[in-house]
Amino acid sequence: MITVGIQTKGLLPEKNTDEAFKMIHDAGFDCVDINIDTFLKNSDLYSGKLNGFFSESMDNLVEYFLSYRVAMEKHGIRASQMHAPYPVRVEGRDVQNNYMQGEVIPKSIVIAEVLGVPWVVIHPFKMQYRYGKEREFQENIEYYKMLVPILKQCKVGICLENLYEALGNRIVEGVCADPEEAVRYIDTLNDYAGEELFGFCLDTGHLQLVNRDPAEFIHILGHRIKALHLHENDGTGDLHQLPYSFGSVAGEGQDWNRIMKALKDVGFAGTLSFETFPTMNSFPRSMQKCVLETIHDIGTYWTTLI
Amino acid sequence: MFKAGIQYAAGIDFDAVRNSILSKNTEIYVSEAGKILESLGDKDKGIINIKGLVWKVAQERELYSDSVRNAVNAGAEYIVAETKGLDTVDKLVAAVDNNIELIKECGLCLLVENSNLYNGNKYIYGPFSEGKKLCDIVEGLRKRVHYDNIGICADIGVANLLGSNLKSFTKDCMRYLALIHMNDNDGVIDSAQMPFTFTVGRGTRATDIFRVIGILIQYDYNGYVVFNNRGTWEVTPKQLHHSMVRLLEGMTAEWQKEYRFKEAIADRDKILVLFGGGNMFRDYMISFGDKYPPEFIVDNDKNSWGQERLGITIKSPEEILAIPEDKRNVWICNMNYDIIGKQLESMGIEYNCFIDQYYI
Repeated sequence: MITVGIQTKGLLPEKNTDEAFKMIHDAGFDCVDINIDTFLKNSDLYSGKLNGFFSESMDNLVEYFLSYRVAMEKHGIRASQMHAPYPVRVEGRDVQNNYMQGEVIPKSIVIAEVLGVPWVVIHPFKMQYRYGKEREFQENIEYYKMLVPILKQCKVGICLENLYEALGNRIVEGVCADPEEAVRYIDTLNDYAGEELFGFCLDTGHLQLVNRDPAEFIHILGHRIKALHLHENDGTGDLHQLPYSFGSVAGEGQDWNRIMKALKDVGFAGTLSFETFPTMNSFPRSMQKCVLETIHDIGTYWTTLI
Repeated sequence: MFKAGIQYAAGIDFDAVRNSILSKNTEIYVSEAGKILESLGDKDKGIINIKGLVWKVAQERELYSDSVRNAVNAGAEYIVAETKGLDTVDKLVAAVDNNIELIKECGLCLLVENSNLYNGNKYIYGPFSEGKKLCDIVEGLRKRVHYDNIGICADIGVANLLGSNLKSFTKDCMRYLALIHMNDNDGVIDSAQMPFTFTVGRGTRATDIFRVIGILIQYDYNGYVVFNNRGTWEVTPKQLHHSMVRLLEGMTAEWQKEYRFKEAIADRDKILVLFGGGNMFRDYMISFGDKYPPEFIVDNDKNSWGQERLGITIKSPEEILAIPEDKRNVWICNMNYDIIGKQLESMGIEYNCFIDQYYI
C-alpha cells in the first residue's frame, strides 16, 4: 500500500522530539524520512568543520535515537527511509573523509537498524568533474562494497540518489543523474552482495535542475526505486518547495501527473515521501501545521493516481 | 484590522472558496460577473459575498452596466481599474471619464491598480508602477471627476517584478491605499502564485511580504487584502484547491494575529516585559520603543542582570513571577522561540512571540 511521508528536517532536532512527531502524525502522515544529516550539516562538512556528535559511542547514539523510536511508536509513525550525513567525500579533506566513511556512515546504518529503517540514502562520491565518470564509478563501488557486511548484519539497504553539481553558478548533472548510470551502480552492487541491498532514491527536484524527464527516469530505474524525495523548484535553484507552487498556467511547473503515472507503471508500492523542509521556514511559524496538512493532502491525492 | 478576501479566478474550485472565510470578501472580474452571479444559488447567500469588481481597462472601454449594477446589488463596494496594458495615464483618464457616471451612481470606490510595462524581454517601470505617481494620479482623478471615492489597489506581485522595495512602495501608496492584491512570483514572471513559495537556498524568502504586512500594521491599515493567485488555481489540480485555500486562511490568521500584537503591546493595563536583550530587542525598540517601551527586559545571561540596554533594565526571568498573572504581557524577543517558550511554560508563564521580520 502506498503511504505518505515527510522528512523530519525542518522540525527536528529544533523541536522537542515528541512534539515534532505529534505534529507529523496530526497532519496525517504515516511515515517519516529521518534526517540524521541534521546532526552533521553539509555546509559544515564542505568547510571542514566537524562536530563530535557521531564521535559519541554507539551506545550513546542509540540511547539518543531511542527517544525518536519511542515518539514514533507513541504516535503511530514508522520510518520509511533515512538520510545519512553528506557529503561523504570532499576533495582534499582526507582525514574528514576517513571519518565520514569509516565512522559516521557505519554508525548511521546501525542507527537505521535501531529505528527500523529499511532504506538509508547515502550520497555517492562526487568526483567526475575532476577524475572522470569511470573513476567516480570505481571508487563509489569500492566504498559501497565495504558496507555490505554491515548492511547484512543490520538488515538495512542503501539507496543511491540522483545528484547535481555546481560549476560556477551553473547547475550541472552529477553522479546518478543519468538513469542508465544509476542502473549500472545498483545492479553491480546487488550482484556483488548476492541480494537486493541497494536501491535508488529518486529526487524529483534534482531531476528538474538537470532537465531530465522524470517519467523516462522512472521507467528505466523501475523496481530499483525504493525511496523518493518529492519536491519542486523553479528549474534554477534546489529550492525543495511545495509542489504546484511554480508556474502560472496549467502545464507549467513539474508534471506530477506524469510522475505518478510512471510510478504506477513500474509498480511502485513504497512511500510518497516529501523533502520540503524549507516550507517550515518560508511560511510563517504559525502556519507550520497547515503547511504540513497541505503537503499531506497533496500526497494523499497522488496516491489516488498510482 | 484588514479585511481578507479572495479573487475568483477562472478555474478555481468554487466549493473550495465557498467553504472558506475568505469568501466573505470575494472579488470577480466584470467580464465574468454575469456568469458568476447567475451561478450563485440560495445556499451561497451570506457565504459568498461579492465585494469587489476588477475592470480590465485596456480591453473594456465601456463597463457592462448590467453586470456592474447586479454586482452592486449583490454587495460589491469597489471596482479595481486594472491598468495592465495601458501605456499612458491619459488612456486611464479617458476610460474613467467614460464610465464615472456609472461608478458614481453605484457608489463604488474606484481603485487604480499599479502595473508595469513590458519591453519584450522584461518588465520595466511605466506610468502606473510607482506609489507616489499612483497617489498623484488618484489626486488628479478626484479633482477631475469631482469624486473623492477613488483610491489605490497595490498589487504586491506586480511591484515585485520590478525589484521594488515593497515596504517603501506600500508606504508610498498608504495615503490612498484601500486594497492590497496579494500574490507572489520569482521577480521575473508574473505567475501570481501563492505568497511565501518563492525562496532561495533553504527556505529564505525571496519576496518581502513580511515587511509589507508590517507597514500595514504600523499604519493601522484597515482596507482589503485580497489573494489574487490565479497561477495557483491554474497549476494545482482542482481536488487540491481546498488545501491551497486553507494555506491562504493560515496566512490570514497569522497576519490577523500580528495585527493584535500592536493592540497587545499598547495595553496599558498590563506590564509589558520582553524576553531577550539582543538584536531582536533592539529591532523592537527601533519600531515600537518610543510609543510602547517595555517595563523591563529579562534574559538568561546572569551577567546582564541589573544592567540597562537602550534605557531598559535587564532582570532575571524569575522577576516575571513578581507580576500578578493577569497583569503580565510577556513577549519573547529572541529567535529561539521554542527553547525560551519551554522555559516560560515550565515557570507557568504565558507568553507571545515578537516576530521582528515584520518590522526590521
